[in-house]
Amino acid sequence: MKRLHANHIISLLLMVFAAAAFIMAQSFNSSSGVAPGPAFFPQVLSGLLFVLAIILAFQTPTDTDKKLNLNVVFIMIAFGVYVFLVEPIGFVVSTVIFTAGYLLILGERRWYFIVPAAILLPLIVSYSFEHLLHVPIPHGLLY
Amino acid sequence: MNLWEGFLGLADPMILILLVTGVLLGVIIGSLPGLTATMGVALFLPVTFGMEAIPGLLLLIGIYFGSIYGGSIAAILLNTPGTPAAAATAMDGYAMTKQGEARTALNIAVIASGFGSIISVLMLIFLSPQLANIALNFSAPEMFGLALFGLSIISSIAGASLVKGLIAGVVGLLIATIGMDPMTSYPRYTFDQPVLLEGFNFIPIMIGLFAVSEAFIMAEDYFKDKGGPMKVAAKLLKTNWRLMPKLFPTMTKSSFLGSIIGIIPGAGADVAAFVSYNEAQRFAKKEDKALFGKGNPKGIAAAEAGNQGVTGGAMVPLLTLGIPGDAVAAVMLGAFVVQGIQPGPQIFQTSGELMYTLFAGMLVAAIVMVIIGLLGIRLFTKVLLVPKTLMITIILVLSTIGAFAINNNMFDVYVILGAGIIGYFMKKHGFPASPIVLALILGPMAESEFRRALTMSEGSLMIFATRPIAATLIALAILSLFTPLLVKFFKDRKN
Repeated sequence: MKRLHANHIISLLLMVFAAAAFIMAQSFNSSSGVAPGPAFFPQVLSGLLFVLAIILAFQTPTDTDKKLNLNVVFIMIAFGVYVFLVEPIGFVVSTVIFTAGYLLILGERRWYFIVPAAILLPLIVSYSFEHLLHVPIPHGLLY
Repeated sequence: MNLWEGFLGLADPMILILLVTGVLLGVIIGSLPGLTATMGVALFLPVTFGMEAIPGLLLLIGIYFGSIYGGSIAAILLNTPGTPAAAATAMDGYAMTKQGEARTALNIAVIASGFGSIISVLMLIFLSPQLANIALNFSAPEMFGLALFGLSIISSIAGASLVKGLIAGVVGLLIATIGMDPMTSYPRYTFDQPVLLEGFNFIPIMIGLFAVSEAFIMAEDYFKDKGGPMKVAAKLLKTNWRLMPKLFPTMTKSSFLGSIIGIIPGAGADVAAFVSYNEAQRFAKKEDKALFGKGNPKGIAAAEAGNQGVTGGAMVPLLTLGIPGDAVAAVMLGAFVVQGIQPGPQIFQTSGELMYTLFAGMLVAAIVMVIIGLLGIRLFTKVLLVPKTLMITIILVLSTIGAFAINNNMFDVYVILGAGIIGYFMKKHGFPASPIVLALILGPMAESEFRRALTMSEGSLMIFATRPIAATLIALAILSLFTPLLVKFFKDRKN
């Protein structure tokens, strides 16, 4: 325990999470006669999680490459933006933008590859879901 | 025996088309390194929402079978196993490729895989009605024992760190308690949000953990090492068919071994491949033994028949007891639930006809797989040319639309985003994802059966000790939970 390690931070977060879950479960109404009520399982589990989190803090960390890659954060944010655009502007249009944008972010520069991909992927997916599989897709404002 | 009627149930061109599509998609998914059988089935599960039970399930079964076999293609041609289960295949497969026998190696792999599927499905057909019959008399205490046993395998799928595996499992169990209490309908951890009343659906969580987070990992690897598409240098020459008859004993033995390993919850296709490989090597004659790892066709036959044998074997506990033995089985369980079929002891009573049609479909899928594998190999080597960038994008788009399709709402889409990001960081810090999914499936079962049992016994825990089957199952659960710890303890003492 010489220096603060990722395991310690995770362990602390888990302990807080477990304690919160335990305390919240205390208010669960438990008037179900002889058998344990709705609070029983959550409390046993959060207690167990608390103990496991303590054990984790004392584990010798197996260090590998854990540096956060900024490119990956960017990748996640881009996917997040897409996910939140699907409903307002519609699946097809947002997927056209997403496909082109994502291929660019990932380092693709060949326009003759990006353009067909960005047009065909949304069309194939939306057509197959709506017309072949009869699963509705969100069209939003633009389509 | 209703198997014949089962085959008649397949006499619909639509079903056969979907079966072939499934196998094709599966082989493609399996052959691409980075895409696993679990991801393939999870990605295409939402596609089956609008379908009838039989075609929908057979599409996914085709993907499952196909992708386990498909993993061998990149293993043989590029020494990069397409799926973890194909790692054993790479040893002799790639050696044969270097000797100019790539085509022979690929054909051995597909025939061994077909063998493995067929034998394991036959075992499924004979064993599962029997097992379901035994389990039919189970009531709450036994069902709790079963759920506990299913959960106990978390320790054997935990991977490098047992504590981290258990933490993932317990967090999964806690997430499973969100929503209305199954017994009293009391809302737990819902924060007055109506969407949370039903609890978290495990399908979007699975898509997030097995597809979205894998796509992020692939993107990270791609940023680190901008390798272009993989090129297959090997020439696909003639096949040495005369080798095949000599391999049948190995294939048969490994198929049975793989099926049995598949039935044991917690041991997946990768374990089966290595165990079969080792057994084949151990029983080989002296001069033959030395050839393993240097291009022995028996090595490929054993590994492929073994890992494919798991497909049918894993379906036994899944269908008859409702216990998924590994991640793919967990996703398959989700597929059954979506179709309104609850796997468990009652399955032959409630959906008997459907079961035999599925069994027949699995046998056809195995044959289709062999035909596609023998004829389509040139096509599959082209698949390896698909750029990673496009693959990552396709996975994310399919995950998004698939999550939306579950309930036609955006909430599930936000769940895959959250689960994808959390899953990425879990993997980075050595927390396995499968225990969460297992816990989400088995947690509600464990809780309600436990409380039901205690209602039966008026609060006495003795009910679990006095009923022999329940007591045995609970003892087995404790044993399987601590086995990895004991094994480690004895290993450490030896050193």
